[in-house]
Amino acid sequence: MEFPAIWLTLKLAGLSTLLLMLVAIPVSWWLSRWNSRFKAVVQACVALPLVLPPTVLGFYLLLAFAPDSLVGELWLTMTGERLAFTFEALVLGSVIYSFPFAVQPLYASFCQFHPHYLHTAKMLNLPWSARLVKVWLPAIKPGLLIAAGLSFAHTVGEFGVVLMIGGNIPGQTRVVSIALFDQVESLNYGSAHQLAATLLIFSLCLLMALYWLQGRRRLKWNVM
Amino acid sequence: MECHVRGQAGEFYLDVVLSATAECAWFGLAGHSGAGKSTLLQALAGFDPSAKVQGQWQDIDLSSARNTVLVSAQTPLFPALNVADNLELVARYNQQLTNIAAIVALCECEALLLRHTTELSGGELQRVKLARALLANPRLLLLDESFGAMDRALRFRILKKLRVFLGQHTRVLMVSHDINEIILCCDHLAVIENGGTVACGALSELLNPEYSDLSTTVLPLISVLQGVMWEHKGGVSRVLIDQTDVRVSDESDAQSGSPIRLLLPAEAITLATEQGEALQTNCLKGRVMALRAYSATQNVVIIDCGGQRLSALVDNYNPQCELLSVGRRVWAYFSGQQTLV
Repeated sequence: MEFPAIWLTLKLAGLSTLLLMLVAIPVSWWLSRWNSRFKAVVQACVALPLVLPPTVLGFYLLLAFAPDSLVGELWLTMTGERLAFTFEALVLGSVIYSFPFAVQPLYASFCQFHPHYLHTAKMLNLPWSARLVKVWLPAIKPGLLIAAGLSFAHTVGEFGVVLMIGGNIPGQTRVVSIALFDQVESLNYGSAHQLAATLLIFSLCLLMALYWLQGRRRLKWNVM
Repeated sequence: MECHVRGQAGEFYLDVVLSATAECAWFGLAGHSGAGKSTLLQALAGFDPSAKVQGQWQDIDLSSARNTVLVSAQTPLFPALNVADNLELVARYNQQLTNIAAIVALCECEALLLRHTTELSGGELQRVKLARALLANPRLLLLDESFGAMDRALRFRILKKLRVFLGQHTRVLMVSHDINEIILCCDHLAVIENGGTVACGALSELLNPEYSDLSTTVLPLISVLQGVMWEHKGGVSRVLIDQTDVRVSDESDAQSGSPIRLLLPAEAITLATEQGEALQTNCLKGRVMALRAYSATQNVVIIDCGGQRLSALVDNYNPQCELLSVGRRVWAYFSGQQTLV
């Protein structure tokens, strides 16, 4: 069993989900409160990773992460290391690749959250901490859980982007999906079966949990 | 009290001026739905940052919306908390924890405390919202149809308790479709139409038939007669109006000897030019002060009843109308099914 690959996958997915939540919550909130004719442009950009082949995204990310490009150069001067084919590159790529999966449930949940709740709480002299914890957070909790769950599951399941920008370096970029591909290439079907079944069962359980949550809270999310 | 509110919502423009004497504590707002009453209250509550509010009500600066609490459909309970937690949360941040029991009793919410907010009926929801608003210790309370889903007895009971509870500490601006509610509580009234003020003044002036054109559109033609509570026995209240004993079957907790007002809608009155044998419980006598057209088919008759004015309606195609002339003695008959406030 490829335990280092499994551990690396969980680390990648966990870290990406955390970063995604930090970025997607403010972006989704702003998007849900923003009215402009350019909104469609921003929404389309956010949703792009849903429809693009992962290899297209991976290709452009590879170009962007190269040491002679702007992002790659900036990273090199900041850390003294190359960005492409590192774990950090994978995290960055995953955040971009899974971005719509975090934004869409959050956006739906924020749109349902009427501004009257916050107006009322402010009018009743509740301090911002109480407004956040007692009014805002409970209302967006289902959307937050679904966004985190989907981001995690989607990062675990990515392959094309990882292949393009990460390669297959054990302990660095060799995640489960890459390891599986490697085992099949080497006709190692026993190990491949183990990895494939692990991914299948894990993803199935996670999605079942999310759908159960969605049914209970009647929350809408537009991924499927 | 002076207040000027300007605002805009899409194509709708609001430009309302309200004024009243300084001691006015309860101010009523009437008007058709869509006239801008709720928009006005939301502007005063600070919900609409684009609205411009200027004014002063005693020492309350209306432009800041500080210590101003709105109770309306736009102020939902917090759905993640049950009724008790909704109240407790607001009380804690307004240093009102010791007042929870009294306010819950005033709003008659004792039985609702453990319920979830989604399990409340319309009237229960309104009571809990009112209790929560009072726990924020407001200086200005804005009530937007806050009693509409309660039955009449409950509504009047809570309003009477609320008047006593708030005293002079809190000023109240109240929107209601039920003119009786406004008459019960308010001493001043404004009528809002199409985002502007149509009329504004003391209640006794606006309900006066001089404003009959207004009465036909928004305010019902209704006379408010001052009297003294005589006694209350077996569900019947006896009130002394102009030395006449008037019997009304309305629950009233007023003490004997205390002043009370009788609300007498014009259509409830039967006029007679001779004292006769009409099968009505009550009769007030007076003299015709004025007579004028009210609608295409009705005339309004304004009667002086020992210094108080009473308005009645008669069909203008009734040949006996000719008998009514200014100065003529008339008798106004009405049943006991009237309201005391």
